[in-house]
Amino acid sequence: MSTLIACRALTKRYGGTRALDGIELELTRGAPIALIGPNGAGKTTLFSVLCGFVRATGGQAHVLGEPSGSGALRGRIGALAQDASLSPGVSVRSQLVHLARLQGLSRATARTEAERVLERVRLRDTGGDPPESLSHGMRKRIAFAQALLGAPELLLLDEPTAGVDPPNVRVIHALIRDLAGEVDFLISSHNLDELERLTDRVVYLEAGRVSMRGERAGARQDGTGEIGAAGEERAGRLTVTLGSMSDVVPAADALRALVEVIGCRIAERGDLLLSVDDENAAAQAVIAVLGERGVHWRSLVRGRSLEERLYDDQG
Amino acid sequence: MTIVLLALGELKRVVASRRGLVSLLAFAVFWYAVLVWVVRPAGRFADGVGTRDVGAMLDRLLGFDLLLRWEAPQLAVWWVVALYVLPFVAVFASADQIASDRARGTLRYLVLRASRLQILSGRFIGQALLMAGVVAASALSVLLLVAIDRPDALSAAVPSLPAAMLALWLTLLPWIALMALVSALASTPGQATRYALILWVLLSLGAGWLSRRLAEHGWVEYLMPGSATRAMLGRSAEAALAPAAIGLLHTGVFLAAAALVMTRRDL
Repeated sequence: MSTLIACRALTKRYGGTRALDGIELELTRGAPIALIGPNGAGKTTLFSVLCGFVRATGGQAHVLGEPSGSGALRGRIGALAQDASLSPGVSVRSQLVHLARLQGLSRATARTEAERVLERVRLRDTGGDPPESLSHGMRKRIAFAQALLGAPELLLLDEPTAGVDPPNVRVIHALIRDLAGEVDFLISSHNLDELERLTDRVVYLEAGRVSMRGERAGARQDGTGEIGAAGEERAGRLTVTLGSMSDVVPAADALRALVEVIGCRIAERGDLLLSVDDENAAAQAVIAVLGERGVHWRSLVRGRSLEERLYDDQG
Repeated sequence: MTIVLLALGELKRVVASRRGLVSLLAFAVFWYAVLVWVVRPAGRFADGVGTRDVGAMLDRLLGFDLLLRWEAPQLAVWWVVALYVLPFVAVFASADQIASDRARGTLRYLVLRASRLQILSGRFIGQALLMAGVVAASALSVLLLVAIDRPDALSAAVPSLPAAMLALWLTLLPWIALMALVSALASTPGQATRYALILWVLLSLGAGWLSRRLAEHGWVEYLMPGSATRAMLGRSAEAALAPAAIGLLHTGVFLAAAALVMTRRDL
């Protein structure tokens, strides 16, 4: 499978601070990739280097086989940069046409393309408005629209839903899911639930380096910095989320008594993490025992959440 | 093609946005006031008293014999006013070539589609075209004034205008290039204007120091952007083209520095 992103000893310093500290990373084309990590981990810096917004201090970064920032990448990658917006005072449609023309499209094609991407983000009716008259969520969708102009092979999305209201989040999520088969995605976000739903691969950054934290069974240990996410270690795992924290301890005791449950551990945020042999049988038994005890439960899912895999069960 | 699109985009940003239109309206009002309260009274005064007398008066006041070089006194006053006023207009109009786009993040969207040098060049050319329009509008307005107050001088005044407009425009280019440089350095348009002021003072001090140390070298006075203005004041439009062309050198230097900043600075 061809290489999507390759970084070798990639370093970026801001004064005395190393935002990227020798990143070694190779990602292949395919399923959407999540770029995650705590604040200050270097996610946005890596994103910016890959897009050519920021010059690396040392090392190399290649995207789609070309050096990041190279002219050869123009039109091949689209990006939704965090907090970036279009110019005020000029209609969104007009700006999208302008950007499309910069990508080499003719005037007529650029107009058609602007309408297409506006339709894609379901904002065709607001194309005549200037960006400042739109809500934050709509501006994010417009930013997404500009990333879709032309036929990008890779979309880099930096916090695509940060500060966005649920209806707009749904639209953005639907877009990503719809496009996932056609375009490669690298999505940076703090919202792990979102990433779990949208991505199949995870790159975890910490202190400017690619970290293997949270890697468990099924994850790759080949030194590429790529780890498996939801789906790869679902076998033999159930996660139960209860409606009330006061029910957690008695429910855990009750579930430990079930023959279908090998082990039960209480995660940091109160979820019950079950080790089981037969997931279907265990799920039925869990539902039955919780029902008998009148315990309100909100969800029962196979496997463990990305958040728990990364933060709650290290070591 | 990309540079042309960026230049036209820059023009459109001014003429198609509310903020740009307000700025143009403000300039139009200001220029109308200049015409009505400065150029027209001065022209009428010159007509009433006699060209030679006023010329002598201006010679005493400003140190040059101005009016005799122009077909109508309104043109002479416009020439002086435009030489001093339009650079300020150029500085304020072009202060935001890059800065606010960087602050807003719009520059990131452009960089995905055009090289940084193309963006810089396109913005500069767009602003230069805009100022060409401003120069032309100011020249046409004064021509209208001549048509009203001195219709007999109109036919003689028209041929001198193209050279005058070109000379004026050439004197504005270094200012636009300077603002391209400071706009590439700054994070906001306001900061760009402050940088321009600081740079202006530093350049003035530097040129003054050099001219004292190297007084025998006449070229030193041309180190400053706008230094040709004094030489242009006392000349006819055609004769002013030569000193005005010095601005092209300043423009080249500032644009080269801006290109260096633009290609190296993180967005």
